[in-house]
Amino acid sequence: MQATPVTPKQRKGAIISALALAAMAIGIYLVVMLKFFVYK
Amino acid sequence: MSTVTHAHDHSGHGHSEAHDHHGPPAGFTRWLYTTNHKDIGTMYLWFACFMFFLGGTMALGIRAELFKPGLQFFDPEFFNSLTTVHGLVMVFGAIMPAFVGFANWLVPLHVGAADMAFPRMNNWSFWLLIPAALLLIGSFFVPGGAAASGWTLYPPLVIQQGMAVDMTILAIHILGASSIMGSINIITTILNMRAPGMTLMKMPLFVWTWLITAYLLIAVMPVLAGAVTMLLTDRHFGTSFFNAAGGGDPTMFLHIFWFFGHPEVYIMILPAFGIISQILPAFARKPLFGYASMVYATASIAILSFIVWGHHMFTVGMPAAGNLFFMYATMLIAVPTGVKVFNWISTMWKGEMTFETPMLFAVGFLCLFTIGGFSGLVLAIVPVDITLHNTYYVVAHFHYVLVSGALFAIIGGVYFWLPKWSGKMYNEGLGKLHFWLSMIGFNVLFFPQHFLGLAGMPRRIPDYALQFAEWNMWSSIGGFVFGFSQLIFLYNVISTIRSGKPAEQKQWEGADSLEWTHLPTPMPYHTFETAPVVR
Repeated sequence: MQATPVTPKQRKGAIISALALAAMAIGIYLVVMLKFFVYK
Repeated sequence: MSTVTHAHDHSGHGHSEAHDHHGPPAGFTRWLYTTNHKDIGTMYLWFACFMFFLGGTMALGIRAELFKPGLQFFDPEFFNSLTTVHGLVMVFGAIMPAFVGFANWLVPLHVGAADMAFPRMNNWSFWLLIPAALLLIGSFFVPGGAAASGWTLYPPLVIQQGMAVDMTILAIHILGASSIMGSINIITTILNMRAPGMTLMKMPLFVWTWLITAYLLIAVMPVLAGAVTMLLTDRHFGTSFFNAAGGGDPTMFLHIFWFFGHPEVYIMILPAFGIISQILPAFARKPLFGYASMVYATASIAILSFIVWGHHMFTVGMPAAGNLFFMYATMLIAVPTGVKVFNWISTMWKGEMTFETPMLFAVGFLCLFTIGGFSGLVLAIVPVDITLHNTYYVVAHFHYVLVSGALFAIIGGVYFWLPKWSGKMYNEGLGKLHFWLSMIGFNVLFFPQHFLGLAGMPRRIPDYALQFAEWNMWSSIGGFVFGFSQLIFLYNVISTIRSGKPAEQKQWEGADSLEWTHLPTPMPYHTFETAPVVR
């Protein structure tokens, strides 16, 4: 694999963005599933 | 967009000679292990192409069955499976992966990045598609046959069917994970990897449309995942979320599904807007008219898409106030969409236009997508929709949006960028033949379905009353013309890659994004290792 020329600032920004977006996706899934957790 | 640009090195390929030996490895491992955005984009596009022909074959089966009244080839259960899997394959297997293929090829090139932000995750996103596709296709061969509830998977029917539904649910989960990872990659690339000087408002509109689409995907794919997870627990773990017999509410599934489903429509059309916004200025030889308003209109459409889901379910018995809200909210979408259509026409106005194949598909998109938009406005009117709900009018409407909208944009985009991607020029005569046969075949296929719907023919039935026979016959003839004309496209693409004439660096005079202005044709395997500076 070719190492891509990414600056440390870009890498840090990309990782923070990705974690925030992943948290958003998981959070939305959990909100939808909230009905499952309170199911009786 | 204004991108007067200068690169540190003229080719945009820093240390080009030193890196020429970093070409792709040979054989299957190149594709299995690749982290190169161009390779992954190519794989997405070929995957979408395969699924398009697979879903198209199912569509031809449907049209063959409907050629005349009576049961011809299939039993009704199998017919319902065909309509269901045709929809799922085309939405999740063809249109969406095709646009992700474009994003992989073009987003890094358009923003001046060397690759996507997370190349390994990019590889994984693609390869997840294969097991999902195998599950979907394989569901035809399990006891009970494939899911037959329509692509919307409505309960209670879907709760009562066989294991094919479980395979479909698993496939949707996998496809959702793939889409979310792909979207994270696209957003992080656009926000973090842009070349110096490439501000957000200088990005090509294709990048903007994908940025907004990726946010939509991350917002709604988990909603679909939640809905199908609850379907799964209803089927196997004794819950009754959607099962009325156990105290559940099937209508709740409709609300959750369409909260995903309507933004999904825009997920399939916003990138098409982006492609058209690249093609039209190139062949009008003018900058895109109203760039900023195009960006704001795209964002407005995306935001509005979250508050209109109820227009898919006017007949379920919502309160009148609810129906009115969804009706007016839906009509509101015509405003930003109208801005876009106005800007595209203004872009062409007094332009020095030529009509090569990509431009033909773009103009075809503009005419036919607008018809689909207008029939959407008709369906937004509650009393009209109550009459036309689940008729062929709806089928005609969404095929005008998704075939002459999304698919025409994809085909036009392939013709537009194929010279850059492959380094070879396609056969223009075959391209124009392909366009005109598609245009005629498509309209003969779907325009009569408006009449059938207005006359009351319900969708998703293998047989029909005699008064619908003539328009169904024409629709089927159009379907076969449209379907077989796509083989010309396939032949044209393959023969171009194998033996096309060399293309020029800037094949289209009016094209102004970085891949045309800064990169040689054919492009090197690695591009923008030294970022260009955009002024």
